[in-house]
Amino acid sequence: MPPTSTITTSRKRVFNSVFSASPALGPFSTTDNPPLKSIDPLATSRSFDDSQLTEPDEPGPDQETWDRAWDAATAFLAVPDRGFAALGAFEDIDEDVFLKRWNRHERPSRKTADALRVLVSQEQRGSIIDWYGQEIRRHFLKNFRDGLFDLLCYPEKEGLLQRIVRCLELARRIYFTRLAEYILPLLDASEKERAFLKLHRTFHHMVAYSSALPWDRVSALLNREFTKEALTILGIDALKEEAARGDVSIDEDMEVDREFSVSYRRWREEPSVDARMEMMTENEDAEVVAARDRLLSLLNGLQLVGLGGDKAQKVFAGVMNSMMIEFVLAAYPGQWEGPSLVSQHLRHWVENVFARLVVQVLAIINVPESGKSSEHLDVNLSDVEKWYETGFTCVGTLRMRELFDVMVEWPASSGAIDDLRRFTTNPATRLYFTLSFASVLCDRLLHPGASTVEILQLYISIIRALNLLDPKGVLLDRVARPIRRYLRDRDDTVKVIVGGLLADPDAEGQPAPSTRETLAELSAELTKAHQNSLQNDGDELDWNDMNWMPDPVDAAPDFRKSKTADVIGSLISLFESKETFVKEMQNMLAERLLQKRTDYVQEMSVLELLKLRFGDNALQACEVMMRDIFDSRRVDGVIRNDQGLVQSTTPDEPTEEIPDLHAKILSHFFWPDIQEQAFKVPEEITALQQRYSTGFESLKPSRKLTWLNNLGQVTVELDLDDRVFVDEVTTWQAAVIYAFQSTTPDDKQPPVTKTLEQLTQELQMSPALVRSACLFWISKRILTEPQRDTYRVLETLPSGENEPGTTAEPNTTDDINDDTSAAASAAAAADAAAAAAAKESAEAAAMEKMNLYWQFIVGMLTNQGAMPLQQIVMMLKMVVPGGFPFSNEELREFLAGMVSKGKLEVSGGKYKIVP
Amino acid sequence: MKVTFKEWNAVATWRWDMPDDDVCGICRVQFDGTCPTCKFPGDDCALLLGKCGHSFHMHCLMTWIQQEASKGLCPMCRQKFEWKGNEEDGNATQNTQDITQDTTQDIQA
Repeated sequence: MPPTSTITTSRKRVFNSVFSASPALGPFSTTDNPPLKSIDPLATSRSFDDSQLTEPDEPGPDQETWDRAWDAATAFLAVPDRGFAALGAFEDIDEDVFLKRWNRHERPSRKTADALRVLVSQEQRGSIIDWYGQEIRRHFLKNFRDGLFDLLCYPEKEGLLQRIVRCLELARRIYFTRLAEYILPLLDASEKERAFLKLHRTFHHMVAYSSALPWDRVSALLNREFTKEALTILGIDALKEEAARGDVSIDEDMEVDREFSVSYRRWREEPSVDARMEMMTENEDAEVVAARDRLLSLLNGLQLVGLGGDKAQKVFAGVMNSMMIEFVLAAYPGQWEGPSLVSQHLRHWVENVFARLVVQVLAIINVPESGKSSEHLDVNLSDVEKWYETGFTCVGTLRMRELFDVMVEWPASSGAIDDLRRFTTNPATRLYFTLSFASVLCDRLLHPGASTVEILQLYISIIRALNLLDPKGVLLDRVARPIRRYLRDRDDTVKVIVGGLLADPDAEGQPAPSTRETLAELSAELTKAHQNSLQNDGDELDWNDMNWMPDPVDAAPDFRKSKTADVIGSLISLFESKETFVKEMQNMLAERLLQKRTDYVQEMSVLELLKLRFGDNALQACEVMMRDIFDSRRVDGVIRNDQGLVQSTTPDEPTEEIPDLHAKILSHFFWPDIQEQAFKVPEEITALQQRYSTGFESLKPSRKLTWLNNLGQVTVELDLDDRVFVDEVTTWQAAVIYAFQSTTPDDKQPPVTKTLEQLTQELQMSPALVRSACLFWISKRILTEPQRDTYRVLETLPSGENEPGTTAEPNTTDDINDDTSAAASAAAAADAAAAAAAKESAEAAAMEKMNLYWQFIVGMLTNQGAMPLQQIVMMLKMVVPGGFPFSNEELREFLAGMVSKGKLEVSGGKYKIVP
Repeated sequence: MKVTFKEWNAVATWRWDMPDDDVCGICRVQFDGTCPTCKFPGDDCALLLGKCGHSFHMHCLMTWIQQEASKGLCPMCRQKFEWKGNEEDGNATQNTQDITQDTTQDIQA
């Protein structure tokens, strides 16, 4: 009871003192109380209520003395209304003068001191302190509120927050000086504490809740300040600078510039653990220290004037959160070296730099109102752990964003995958991983601008990387689906894969084993994969596998970890059937087997390895092809012996030199269709071929040979007037140059000149092929083309380009190298011509095939009358066994050819047989 | 200019000396292919030329002949199946030689 009664009585006293008609009132009481009343109606009305509710005032010990003392004290304590401008002027004047202005300097007169003592020593001493609280509030609202509010209107001003804090500090000083100096000493310790806290709280509430400083604006300001300093303290701005300066000059610069660094790269490069430790903890440079001091003193001020506390903590938490992201973004992009130390580095940073700042800041702004309990720690270990988790999630997100580039760089970027492995540990992140990566792939890879080799290359990287990331293969399964779907649509996928498989592995010595053209690493991978598969023949249904784990929850319903989850298996299984693959394999193999080589070890091993995957039957044709080549070698020896085609080994025997005829004998049924470009081979060779055939037929009864003259290689020796040229060329090139042979060994004869037409006739070769061969010889400087389509042998090289002394050189390729540019352009022309010839022959072959369908078409048009093109195509597609492989355009062209031959006629868009 | 061929590496295909599109009457695979049990054509999977004019993969025909029901008859014409033995070998080679000559002449023409 006693405390409440004292409060109510004291309130009553205050009320009376303010509203009494006493003439001794201070100059402010009557004028200034009404606004206060209106502003703080609750307080006033409460005091009214209280006074009415409580029992009549018990008479004080000495009402008269009391009143007088009250008047004196309030006059002494009252703060003059000087407005905000006077407060804002603190920068210009020194502190004493400043305080004088606010009536805070003079010592109390004896009378006042006595009055204070009387008031305080009274039982109801709370009242004077209450009054002072109200006086502060009144003064603040009247003088400072609007000023502070105006300050906040220019939030972009530099140092605004500091200014506000300073103003508030001064205001606080103005309010508290007299209290601290003259009233508090009169109280005993516990009372002192209570009274001080009460006023303190009053001031804080005023700052916080009077509309002078709306929190949203202040928090924005706080945010800005915190961010600015934190960037420096946490070392983030240094990291950014470093990044901006570029990679080249970092190391030298940094050594001199700043000892303290949170740079991941430098941390990584530091070999010893201790040195790494020191890097972040020691040697803070002046800039960081200054920033830290600034921030801490600002926080002290804030806390003092009541802008600290919970709200500031919230802002600070927000800032630190974004700092974490900033740091990760500044420190780790592009740092993909494996093994990754990012997690250690981040932990280190969080513990030593991040947490340190947090501890320091919280020590200031996290002071509980009722004193500080010493054993309470602002930050505990689980907090640090949580921050680390947050930070690492940021790293994961960063890596996700970088993932595409990580894949492009693959073998050099395994560190990034290490990071991601720590990140993709729960279904949410895994889902995020697959979704975002799949969409990046669609944007950046799966479009017509990327070559198939690039796509496959990246796919291989992805397979390898994701196998590390998630050995179960679920992530890979999800990510790879769009790639696989896309690759299936590409025409040349099979070609690239097979080409890669068959590529020579001895390209390892070269800097880039996988060029834009081929995926040579596939062949290496094939060998490696085989060795691996021998080692762990893991089966899903291994009942003794004690480490078995179910598939992750995000596995697709139709997911199963195939045994062929390695690179080769994934690529081969791209296609629904093995047929496409095997067919391409056959083509590629055919091309390589027909080259002139001594061994086919690579092909053999690839074939053996593929047989393990496809089974023997699928690759039967390829095996037959291989065997054909090996058999032919044996058969070749036997036949040549039998037919006396072998050169006599005795060199002095002056027998007529005959060319060495070797043959590869193919089982045509198992080889891909080889385009035939018939032409007449030189008589000499024909005769030899005939002898060879005879030999074959006697060796293998009831079989006959068909020569494929456009395939094969010939070593020719050209005896020109001034030089001898030896080279290995194709058969058709040889045939063409043979046609230029001088008929008589007479030197006086002019060089042989032939026209394209003559050659075509003579060799029964297609003009394109003749032309291509001639261009080839021109590039070798054997022929010249004096006029269009006329070719002449270049018996002597034009003078000036070749000294007569070197004419006896056996091989003139050196001469040709002299002016490589001309030769190169000529060679390019030859290549182009060869390509044109090949194209022509391919077209001819297509037309040939089309002729098969001609029978169908004739039958159809005869039976059903005239038909439009569309209908013909439709019928063909339905009727022809195996489908009709040509497009409408091709058929239209073919039919147009038939029209021009007079076999068809067109009327009204319909084709009709000419009767 | 004198052109000398040092070495000529040619490519040729072999065929059974039969009409082009003929298939084995039993397995319906071309003669140049293999019977279903074989992997390699040619020597490993020879043909049998019947006197009746029908030819088969040797393995195919053997399987047939070994069955009781076959009674040693040609599955196509139901005549007694006898293959062209060694006594006609020379003749056969002669024929094939003629044909090869013909074809080479064709090429030259």
